[in-house]
Amino acid sequence: MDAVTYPEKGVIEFVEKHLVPLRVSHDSKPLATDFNVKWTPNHVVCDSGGKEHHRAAGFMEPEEFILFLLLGIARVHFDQEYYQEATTSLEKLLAGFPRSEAAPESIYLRGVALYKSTGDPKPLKKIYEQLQSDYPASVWLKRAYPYRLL
Amino acid sequence: MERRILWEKDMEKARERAGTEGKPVLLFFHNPA
Repeated sequence: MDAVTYPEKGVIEFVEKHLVPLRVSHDSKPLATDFNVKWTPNHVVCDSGGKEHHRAAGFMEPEEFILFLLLGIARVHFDQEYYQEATTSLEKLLAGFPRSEAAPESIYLRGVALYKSTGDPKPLKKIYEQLQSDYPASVWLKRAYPYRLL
Repeated sequence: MERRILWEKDMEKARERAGTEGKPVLLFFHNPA
């Protein structure tokens, strides 16, 4: 990460703009124990209360890392019931990286966030329709399967 | 001068900043060895 991803200009700018970065050793106590860290590199996206919302272990190239961060930010907002902010992060991910591996999950989460913020079930059905059309092999299509009936 | 990420080193400081700035914390566990 230090050799490839963290020196990259886009990564530096994204992290500075959207996150508070905290770097600790894998055996730092009590954090490594609290977060059950068994492998490095290990990245956790937390809210300001220190609660975990998204995690990945292993090396990520710059684009994959920014995708991970966008999804993590969206998950923080979603879990805190800030659905509009979650939708905005997911729209940014889908607009910037429409064919990425994170796209199916983002489509799913965006639809749920829209439903939660409006009470309108149409975005749930749209999840299924879009995933069926664009990502028929995705596990997220299976998870959206009940929404086809709406 | 080379630009780089300015990492916090203390969780409490990072959480305080996160609350003030309205941002999540990116917690990076690394192996310095």
